[in-house]
Amino acid sequence: MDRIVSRRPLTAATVEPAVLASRVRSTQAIPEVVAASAEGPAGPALADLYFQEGEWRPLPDWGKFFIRLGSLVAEFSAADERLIIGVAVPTRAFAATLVAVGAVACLSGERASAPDSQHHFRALCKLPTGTAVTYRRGNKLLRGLILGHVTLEGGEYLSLMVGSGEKLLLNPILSMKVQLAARQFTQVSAKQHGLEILQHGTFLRATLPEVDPYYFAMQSRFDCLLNGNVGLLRHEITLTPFGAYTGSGKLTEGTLQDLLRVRRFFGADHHFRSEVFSSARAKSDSNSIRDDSPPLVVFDGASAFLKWRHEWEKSAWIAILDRTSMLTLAAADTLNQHYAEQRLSDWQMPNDLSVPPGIEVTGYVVRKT
Amino acid sequence: MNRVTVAQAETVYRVARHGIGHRLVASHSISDANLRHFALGLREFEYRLGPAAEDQFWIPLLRRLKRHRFEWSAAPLPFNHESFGSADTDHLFDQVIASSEFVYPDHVQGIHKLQGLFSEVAGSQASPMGDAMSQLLRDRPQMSPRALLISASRLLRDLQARLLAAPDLSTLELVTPLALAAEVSYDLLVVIGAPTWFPPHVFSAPRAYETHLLHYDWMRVRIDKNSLFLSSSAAAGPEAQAAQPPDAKAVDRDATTGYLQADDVLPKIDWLAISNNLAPAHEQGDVASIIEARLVLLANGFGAFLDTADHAAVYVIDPEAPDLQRIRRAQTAEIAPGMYVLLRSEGGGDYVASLANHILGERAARLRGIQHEWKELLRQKVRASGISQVSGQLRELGLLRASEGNLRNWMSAGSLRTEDPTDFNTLMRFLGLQEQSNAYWEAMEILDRAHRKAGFHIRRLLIREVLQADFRQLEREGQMDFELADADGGSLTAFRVEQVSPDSSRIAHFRVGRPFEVERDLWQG
Repeated sequence: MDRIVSRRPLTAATVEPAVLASRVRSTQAIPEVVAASAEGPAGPALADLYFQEGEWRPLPDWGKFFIRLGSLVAEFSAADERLIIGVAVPTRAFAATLVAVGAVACLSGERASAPDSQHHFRALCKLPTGTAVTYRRGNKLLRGLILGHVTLEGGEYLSLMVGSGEKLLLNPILSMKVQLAARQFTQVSAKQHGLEILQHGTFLRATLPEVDPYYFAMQSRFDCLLNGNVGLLRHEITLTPFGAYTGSGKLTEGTLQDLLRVRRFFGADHHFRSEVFSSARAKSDSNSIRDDSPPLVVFDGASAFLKWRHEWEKSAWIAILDRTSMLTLAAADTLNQHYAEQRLSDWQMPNDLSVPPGIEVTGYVVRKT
Repeated sequence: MNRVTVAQAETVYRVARHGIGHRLVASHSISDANLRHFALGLREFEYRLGPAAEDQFWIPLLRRLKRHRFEWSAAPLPFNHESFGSADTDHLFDQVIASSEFVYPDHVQGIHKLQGLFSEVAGSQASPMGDAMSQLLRDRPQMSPRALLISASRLLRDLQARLLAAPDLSTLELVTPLALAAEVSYDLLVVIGAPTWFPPHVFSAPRAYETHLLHYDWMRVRIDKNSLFLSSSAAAGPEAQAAQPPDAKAVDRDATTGYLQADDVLPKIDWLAISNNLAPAHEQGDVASIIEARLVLLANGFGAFLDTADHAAVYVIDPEAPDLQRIRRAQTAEIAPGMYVLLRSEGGGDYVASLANHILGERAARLRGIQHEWKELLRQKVRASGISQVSGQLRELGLLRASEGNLRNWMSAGSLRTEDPTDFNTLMRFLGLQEQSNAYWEAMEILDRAHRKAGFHIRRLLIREVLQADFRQLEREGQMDFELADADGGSLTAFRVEQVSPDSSRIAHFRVGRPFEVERDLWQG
């Protein structure tokens, strides 16, 4: 059973002033337009990405647009309202994936810097004996079981077992290396090799320089759901190389999985930030995180939108509609109908964000159900 | 859908960006007096017939002539090209004229006149559309790669042969709308006909820096706005240039200045007629042997019914997929124009069942006998009491899944047993086979395992064949045969799906999955 260590808190304290202002406007009597933040993404800055075409080239404008769109929708947060965005594209390729990157990067700013160690230590000490946790040793993640907490020579320590006979006593500062496990277990093997935490650590540091990479990779958050063709998304997320420049000016390579941390594409022990559901499945997945509503659901294609939108009535939606799909007209009709019936106000993109040629966008605010 | 790189996606957006400062679609109006007179003369004749146009006496000829009008407007071939089949139509004219003197004497003069107009076109070597296309290509020698898109799929093979034979056209790639959904880009795309004859994405998500739309001047064409949403925060894609005849009037029927709406020239598929033509009424009367199926029209004038039951699936080929994923099973609901379905074209019947029998050897006859026995008993009950009555009786016995749909499924040869052994036991009890219930469940389990094994084996054989196949031929010709020597003989044919019926039909189960030739004129409603 996966556990979400922290969910996106919908409190005023975490919302940027510009977004708060827009939320206030949207709750006023019949507002016509809700303006998005015009000051760039609220979350940590995402470095420019590069793709390979013989040589490394900057991500085209349409790619940057999708990333920005994802972050704009992710930062829109209101207790009883949500954003609905429809995007018509000439090809579905990378649109949903890059939108998700923007959203996850934006939300990585929440608790991006490590929380107070004393607070973290106290929380761990309250957990029952035998609670499954992970312990970071270098770039490896070891399984551990909490044994309790002890007082020794005036100091307080968290007692942890990470292998046969290997017990650790961790002070509050070292306890920051401990997180709740992504999956429950009751035993730890005698000798652990450990899981690699960051596959391309340099790439993650280069793309999200303001975020602690280990903290980012060591907590599970359901920030974004991608609903579409799993094979295509896997190809884009785990098999397509992207590049980013490090602070020292060196280009480093990784994949979007380093940023998205899709649970489905990891082993079960990894912490995740997003998830991919198949739009082709016959019924709802029996999935432990199904009951949670991520801030954003990205429907990668008309079929996904038509079939599964009702399952995510509490999340913001971005529907990527590929104009070459037979179902796109039906999906657009459905979205237009939804717009006509449910819209509280229109959503307007910031002036500094222009829609690339070939793309059409609609956006509006609806009440959460 | 293909796995693409960022660079490939960028080629698509590059075309869209080009549309900011350039016209992506140009419309060219082509004139031909003979075709104009025939096209409008046909409409005039139909108008003069009035309600008689719905008479079975006139329907075959009118259908045929409308098909000619469409195909002459839709392919850059000489009017007298044999693929149009004009000689056959001449005979049809003669037959109708001979009888019309007695049946419809008031229209004899009109039909003679129409035959004259038809013959003027059919006997002409002129190829105004082909000439215009050649000129357009000659004027733009630097634009390559270049492609041609037509909507008359029946003519693709002949057109391809002609392109290959013409030195100045051999570099012109004949493409389908599906090919234009991939992440490709052409310098130049020639489209013959009206935009509404093609899926919207050909114009709303263009894959060419220049698209030239060639159509006859008596046809009114319209390029729809690209906007999909009621309210767009930002507008949209590349603007297309709409083309309208300057002086067209909606009621104008004059042979020299009138016009036809392009949508009225496009063949309307008479799904019901095709279905009824293949499946006589007496077959549809046997409630126990019919199933719900969807009619699909395939390349080169073929059609097939595909089972719509939840469990039913058909093999499809994806030429663009990685090697081991080129063959997969797809439910009928997934089947869409442009996909390639694999159907058994020789050997008859279900190829999975056939190979399963081969695997089972001597046991097959006994097991199939059991399968036949309980299904036939069920069919007899349904014939005697009706399907809803039987459904109700089974539910009363506790078989809550006995919906009419499931009942049809259980009666069909495609299903082997219920999902749940308890349900099967109830069903056997209902059929008076309670004592044999466990043994029959076991027998159906053995058959089920053999079917799975057969399916796996066929897929392996198919992959072997498909990996060696030249998919350019499949994409060019719309069909390709595959011989499965190890799979109990027979052959499979991959067909490109051209159209999918919006509704399902009720059809005898033995007709499902078997390709048949659709009568050509039934494409024209």
